[in-house]
Amino acid sequence: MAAKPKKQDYKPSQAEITNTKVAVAQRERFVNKYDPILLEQAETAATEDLGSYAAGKKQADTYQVLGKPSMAAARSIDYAADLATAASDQILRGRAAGEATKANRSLSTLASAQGQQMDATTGIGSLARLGNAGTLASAERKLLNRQANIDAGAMLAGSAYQTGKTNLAAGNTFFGGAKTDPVTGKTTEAVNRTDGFFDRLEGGLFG
Amino acid sequence: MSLLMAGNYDPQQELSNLTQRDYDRFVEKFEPFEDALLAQRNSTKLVDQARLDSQTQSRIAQEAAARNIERYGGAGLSAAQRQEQQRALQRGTSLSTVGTVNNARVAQREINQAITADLINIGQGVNRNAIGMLTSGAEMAQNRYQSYKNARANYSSQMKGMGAQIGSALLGAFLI
Repeated sequence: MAAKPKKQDYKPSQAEITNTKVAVAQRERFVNKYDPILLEQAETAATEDLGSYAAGKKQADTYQVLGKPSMAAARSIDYAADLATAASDQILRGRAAGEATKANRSLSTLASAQGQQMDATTGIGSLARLGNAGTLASAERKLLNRQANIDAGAMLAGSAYQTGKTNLAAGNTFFGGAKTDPVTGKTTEAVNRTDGFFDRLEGGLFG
Repeated sequence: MSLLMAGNYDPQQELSNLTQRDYDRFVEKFEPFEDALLAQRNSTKLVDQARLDSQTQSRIAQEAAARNIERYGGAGLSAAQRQEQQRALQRGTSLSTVGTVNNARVAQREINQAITADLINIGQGVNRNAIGMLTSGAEMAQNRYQSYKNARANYSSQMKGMGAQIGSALLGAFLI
């Protein structure tokens, strides 16, 4: 028969302890160093006005090219109208590019934050699976134990019944020892309790 | 010490705490940011700004042209020519505003569409993850239920077997 399992044989290995310790430390490091950067990125993405910045730059570019004083420009009928149209168009392009950049930045920040949160929920899923496996294994162990107890009880009861029956067939009482008259049921021979425990055990085992 | 501990750490407890903290932190810190982005997919900021920008640029261009003409002492323009310049500017401003606003609408639509598409992608990931977790949860519950039912059935059948054994022994005892 196998030896009873010992708790100390199931202790975590040094590698497992180190693994958990390092994982916890890594996590702390991430939370302290990288998480604030992501938060800062989110705040910047939400508040920074890249559209105005790009629009201002485009306006400056336009006036640098088209705003130079010249006789031809002064005499042109539609110079001012062309200048206004060009500047408006360039500013719009600048604003659109700035807004698109801002949106991309915000979206990638949100995706990173969601990714982190997803990792967390995936962790919960793994944990639930671990817990579930543990619950099932525990239930199985309990069932096995219960069945073993029942089997042992049944075996003992059967053995006692068989012995009692043999005793009765030999003219003894159910529990052996004293002899009884099968007709009257009265004790005809008293129990011999002079033998020691081991003698009686030997008699019980080998007759 | 519990067998589930690794040194001073309980990995299951650590993981449980960490995942709950991560989720709470996301809700606290990033959810407002997420809501703002969701609202941004209907933004009209570019279109609104284009109207203002067009008016401002028209004024600036008019002032620049006026300075230019002054710089060249009227540039030899007749009164009729100067009037025509004014009309050209007004016409140009109207056309420029309409054109700029139309272009702004197109640009705004592209940006909003891109934001919406990206948000949908992010949302799909969240949804996929949630469905995956629920599927795992449902599978685990089903497994647990089946294991319980199997255990009950095994127990019941073994009890019946034992009863049959005892019954047959009793029958043997009384009928022999």
